[in-house]
Amino acid sequence: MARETPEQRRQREEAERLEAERRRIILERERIALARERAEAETTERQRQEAINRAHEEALEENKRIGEQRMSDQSLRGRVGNKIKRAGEAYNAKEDAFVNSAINLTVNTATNRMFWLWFVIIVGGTVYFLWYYGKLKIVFLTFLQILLFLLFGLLIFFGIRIAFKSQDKIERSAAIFIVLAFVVWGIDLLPANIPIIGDYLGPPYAGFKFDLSGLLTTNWAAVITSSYVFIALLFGAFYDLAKKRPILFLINFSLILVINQIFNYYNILGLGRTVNSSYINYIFLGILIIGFFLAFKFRNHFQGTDLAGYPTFLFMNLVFSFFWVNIGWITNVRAFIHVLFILAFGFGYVARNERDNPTFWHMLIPGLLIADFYGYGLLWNSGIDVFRFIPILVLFVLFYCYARAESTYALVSLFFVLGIFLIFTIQSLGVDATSIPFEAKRGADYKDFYTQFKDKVREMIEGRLDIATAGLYRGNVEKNRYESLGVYFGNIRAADPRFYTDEPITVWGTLRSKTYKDAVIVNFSCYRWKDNKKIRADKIIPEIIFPIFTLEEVDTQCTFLPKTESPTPAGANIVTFSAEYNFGTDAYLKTYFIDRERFRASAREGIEPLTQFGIKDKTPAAVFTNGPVEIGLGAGPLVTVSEGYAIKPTISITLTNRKEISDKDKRIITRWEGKIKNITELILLTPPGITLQNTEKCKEPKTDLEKLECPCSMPFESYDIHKCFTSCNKQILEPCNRACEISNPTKNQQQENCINECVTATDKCTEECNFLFQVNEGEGSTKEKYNAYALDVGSKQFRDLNKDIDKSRSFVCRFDPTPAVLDDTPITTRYFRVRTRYNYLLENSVTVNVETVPVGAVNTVPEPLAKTTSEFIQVSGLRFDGLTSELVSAIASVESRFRHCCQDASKNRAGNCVDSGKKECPFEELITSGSSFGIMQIKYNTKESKDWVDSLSRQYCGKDSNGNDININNYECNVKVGIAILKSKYDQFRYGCKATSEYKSQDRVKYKTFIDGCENGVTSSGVRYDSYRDYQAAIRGYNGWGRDSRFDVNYVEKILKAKNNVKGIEIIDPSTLRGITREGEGMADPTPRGGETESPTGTSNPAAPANVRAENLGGSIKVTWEKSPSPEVISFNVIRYTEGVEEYIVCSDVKTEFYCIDSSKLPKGTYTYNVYAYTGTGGLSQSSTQLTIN
Amino acid sequence: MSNKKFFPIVLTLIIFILGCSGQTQKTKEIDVRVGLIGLTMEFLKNTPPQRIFEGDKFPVVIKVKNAGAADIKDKQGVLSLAFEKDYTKSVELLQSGNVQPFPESNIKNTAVFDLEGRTKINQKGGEEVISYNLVSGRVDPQSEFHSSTVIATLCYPYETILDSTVCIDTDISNLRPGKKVCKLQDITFTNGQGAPVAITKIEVQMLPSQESQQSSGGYGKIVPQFLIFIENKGNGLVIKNDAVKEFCTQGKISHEKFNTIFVKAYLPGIDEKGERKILELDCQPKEKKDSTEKQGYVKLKDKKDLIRCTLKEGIDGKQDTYSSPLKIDMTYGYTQSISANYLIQKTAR
Repeated sequence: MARETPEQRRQREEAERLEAERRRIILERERIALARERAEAETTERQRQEAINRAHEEALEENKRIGEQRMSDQSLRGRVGNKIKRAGEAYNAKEDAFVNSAINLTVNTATNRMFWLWFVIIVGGTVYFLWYYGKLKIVFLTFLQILLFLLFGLLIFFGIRIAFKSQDKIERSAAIFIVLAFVVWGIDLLPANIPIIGDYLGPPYAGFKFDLSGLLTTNWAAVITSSYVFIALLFGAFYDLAKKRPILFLINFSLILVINQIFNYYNILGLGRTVNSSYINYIFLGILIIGFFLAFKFRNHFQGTDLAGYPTFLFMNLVFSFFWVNIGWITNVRAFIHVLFILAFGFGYVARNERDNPTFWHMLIPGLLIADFYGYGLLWNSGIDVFRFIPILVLFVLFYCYARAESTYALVSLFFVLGIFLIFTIQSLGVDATSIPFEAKRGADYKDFYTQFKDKVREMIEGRLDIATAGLYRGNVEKNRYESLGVYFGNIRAADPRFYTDEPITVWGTLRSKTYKDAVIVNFSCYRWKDNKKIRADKIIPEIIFPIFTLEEVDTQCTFLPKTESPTPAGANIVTFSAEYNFGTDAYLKTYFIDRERFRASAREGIEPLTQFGIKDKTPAAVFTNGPVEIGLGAGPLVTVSEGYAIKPTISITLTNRKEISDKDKRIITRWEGKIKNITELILLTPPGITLQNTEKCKEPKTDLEKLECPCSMPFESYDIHKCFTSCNKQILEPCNRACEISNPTKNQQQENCINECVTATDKCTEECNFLFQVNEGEGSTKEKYNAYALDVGSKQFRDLNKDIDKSRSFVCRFDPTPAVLDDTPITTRYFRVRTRYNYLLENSVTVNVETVPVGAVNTVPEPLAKTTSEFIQVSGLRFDGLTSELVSAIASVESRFRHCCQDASKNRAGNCVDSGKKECPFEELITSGSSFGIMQIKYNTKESKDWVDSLSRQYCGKDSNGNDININNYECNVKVGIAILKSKYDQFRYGCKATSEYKSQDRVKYKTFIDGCENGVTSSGVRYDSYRDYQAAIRGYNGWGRDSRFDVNYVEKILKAKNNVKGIEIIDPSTLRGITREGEGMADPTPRGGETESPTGTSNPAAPANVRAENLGGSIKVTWEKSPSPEVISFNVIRYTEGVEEYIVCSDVKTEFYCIDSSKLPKGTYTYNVYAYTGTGGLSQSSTQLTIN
Repeated sequence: MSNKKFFPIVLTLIIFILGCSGQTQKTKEIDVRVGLIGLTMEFLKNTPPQRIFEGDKFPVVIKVKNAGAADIKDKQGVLSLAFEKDYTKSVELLQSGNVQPFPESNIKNTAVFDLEGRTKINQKGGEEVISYNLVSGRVDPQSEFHSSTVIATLCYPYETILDSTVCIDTDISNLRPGKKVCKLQDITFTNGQGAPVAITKIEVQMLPSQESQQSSGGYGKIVPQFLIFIENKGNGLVIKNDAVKEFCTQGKISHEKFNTIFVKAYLPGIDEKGERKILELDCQPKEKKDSTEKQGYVKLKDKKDLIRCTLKEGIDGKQDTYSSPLKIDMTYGYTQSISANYLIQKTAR
């Protein structure tokens, strides 16, 4: 092998290098291509991945949306399903209800209802238990307080939320400042004694006292030249320069120079800021006022120029300067917070909102500052409570924010604050100031806030409770001063509105007694007046002396019996109730005592001691216990005390008969006639150190000179606690025991109880003795005792004066005050006390109406009647078994009380007819029931009855001297016709009603009343109508067989009873006979066959009065009815009935009106008013109504 | 105007203005001798309670505050509580450090106390709460309630001090050339001196002394005279400072003890020995005791009066007019009262 040459080797090596280079390039190309491919792949992959991700996200979104949609659909489906389910359940429930009416609730509704049921039970139970244990109010108030706190906190919370979340910038700012205002208000209300910060905050704040003189005398030069004004003007000048307002710049700059000169002038004077030179000061103030006045007056000239807002700018700065110079407020942290807030609110909110109207905010900010500082004070002094608690700052901020931002939050807050005012009022904090214009006013804190709140709510609650419980929650004690303590008559009234002269007069009354003291022994009596003389009642209930303890009522009655020797005169008679009783009145008088030298020294200095000691009650009046007598005391009010006296001070005592008691509104609640019969005891108690000297000289003075040595106008003697005890026994125990024994003569439990009450009253009396004499009873007692002096009621001097004190009686005593009366204080308050006991005569009168008796009780049958009857029976042939003159007399008595003709044609009814004594008179004068006439009450109102009666008259009465038929208006004829009718009734009914052809016909239409009465009529004593035979059946027939109100079911018995009272012409018991009267309308139709027929033709009864009513008008009764639909009705009568009292015709012959007034004074009871309608043909109908008078 | 021109102008103005008003910066000093109140007192809320029952123990608490500048020391403050003995069983004073019972007798209703006035440290002044426990008595037998009264009377010695500057004008006739450093004029005081009795005005007069004028070649001496107007601006009554205890107890009081204020006034000057020192002015009228004249005093009439004080030593007329401090010191007693009502209600027996 050939050896390679260097050239070859070089060529080979060169070829190899090129080959390697070619391969490297190829490799490099391949690598680059690979990298490009990889990058492209990666990009593709990334894009793909992104696309996947996007698709995934979209898918997720879609899933979410679908999910939500699904949920929504599901919810909808659920709701629909629920509705369907509920409907189904409701349907099922309804269906179940048909099956089982006891269960008609679905499970769900049952649960809800059970919840609310339990809720109501728990709440109701809690309320009840709280009420039961007296905690309801406390819990309610606490709940309200918590609620108020929560509401307040909630309001602040929402404010903060709005401040952070609201998109509206103005609303956000408004919310911030409202919240801050609330915070400032909250700080205002923090109490001074709150831990940690209380001392720092100082006392509560109610602004500052507005002091006009302080304002005028403040150093106005200092205000004008203060550094604040300087700085404000300087910045104003720069600002004007920046805003290219050269005129304002120059004005500001000039002012700075002028102020500087003033300042220098003041310093030269060496006066400083605390010393005023008044004249210069006023000049400055004057210049300021004039300057501002001119600026405001001509402000329109500068409208639209830079100068427009300048005067207000100056004003604002001067106000700020005023507070800058008078820096006293700054020591009060709360006031400082107020200022900070006002500045922040003013410049941070108001100024920004009022950018276009600088004059407005120039005025508003200082105005708010002044209002906040002095507004409280001015409102406080207004005297109107609600004004004292207005948080001016808060209200202003709320109003402004609402006006500017129209923020709902501001509106809600405003309502909240105003809402609170409706319940209570608030006040806030107060400051100490070191400079004159800032005299702090003290406000209230949270406690006051809630006290006010509680009080108002409590007033609301208790006001309601007071109504609901008649005031028991508050107690009655303090109201007693307006109650009638003592003994009083009430409800005095006559037993009847009208008495007749021959009747007993009975008057009732109630004796009421109220006392907190002694047992009252009452001696009750009663009399009527005749010719200024008293005539005592014949019967008095209670007839004896009786005791009354504490609070009692006793019903009393007086009866005056008719007397032949002194009959009760007709007309108004005065009956007087009288009660004599013992009673006591206590009184005390507050009196101030002062050392005489001190008083004189004060007087010399023009000092009024009571004013100096801050005493409000400068003219104390005597306080006396309630009762019929008033005690007036006069001493002082300021009594000077020294060792010796030239002229001693006096105390005067006056006992006045009150005669009426008024309530707090000065309305008279009790009035009476009475007098102090006599004073049994009068004790004057003087405080320790005060005595009545020389009382021993009062005893039986022989000369006038000796009389003058007595310290009192009447004899007084020394009195001590032992005498007081003795007096209790003598004045209370003994008479009380005696009264107990009299009122309960036999020894029984009642008497024992009564005596025990007496002992209790005496114990009370002795206890009072202890009280009256003591000064104080507790630890460290000085054991001082009151001095007591008693009026010598038995003294010769007073004896004559001590009777029938109708108006008043006075006593004056001179007393000796010694320094012992003074306490260790500059002024001493003591009390004079007076205790009296007296007998009081109480009188109350009532007027009773006495009328002449229409018909008196007669002792014999009137002679004409007796004669006519006896003669007529003999000759007429009308005799039948049982027909006697006694029977006829009995009928005449019962029907008419033997009256035939009346004195007055208008008073011809049973109730008012006074017998004229005439034996014949026109029909108008005949006594009548409306349908029946004359002594025998012959029915004469229908054609049929008239015809028949006329025929009977013609048959039995004959003719008069003139040849005219004598009619029933003739006395004898009336009697004869009556007998004839009785005979016809005898003939008709002698075998009993059921034996008559009318009954046998059983025509229940035609003989309705008769058949009904015959079958069913029963008297009050149980006698049946159908049992009547012979003359009894005749009597029944005389009145009629009906059993309704037109008939008297007891008629037969009454006639028989009356008949038994008549023997010949003698009347056995006149008053009994007089008392037997008939009820109903009188005789039935007397015709033989018409007695019980129904409404024969031509005499039909009208329709009854409709809608009858009786109304109590308080003093009178008004009876009304409607016009009768029956045209034939021509008049109405109104008759009053009450049980046990004779009927009374209230109104008669009422024609055009449809009412009637009963003005009688009616006692309590139930009254029936019957209204009768009459036709011109004798038809009659009636309706009634009842009225109860309580 | 461009900013480049604006700022130099503003800077110049600031320097100019600040140059003019170099004296505006002053250190604010707290003056405690301001105000017209001395001691104040009030019943704490609900003491006495508006309504109590028979035999109830109830508090009567009085808050006394010294809002003036003088201190009450050595138990000189006296508070007396007057109540209705007839309707009060007992009274008890609750003692505390500063509040002690009246020392001289067994008087339970009177307390003595100290009370610091306002100082620069304690700007509000001292405060003391004086508590009594009372037990109500019984109401009259037939009464349902009784309205009772408590009267609290406060008596204390007090002091009014005024430090002022007056102009001593030695050239009354204005004969000397040159400007005077100050001008003679009246000084009024409306803010008070931290006490109920206040100096309201000082009228300054310079009286030439004729004798000395002749002896010193026409210049002579000037006698400054001050008419000091004094007024009781408080609600209470001014009393003599030595009658404080009597006023709050039963003690007898003569009219001299009313409205009497002792006054001392001081002015720097040169005494008889030629030494410069603070000289006491001669104030007229003077209290006479044992036929010797003592201290200058004022007897207020209608709550005001004036006193005339002169510097008897006089001032050398050769001196230039100058401002001089004047100190006035008034001592007196003061008394004031408040009252409260409460209702004693009958209990069920």
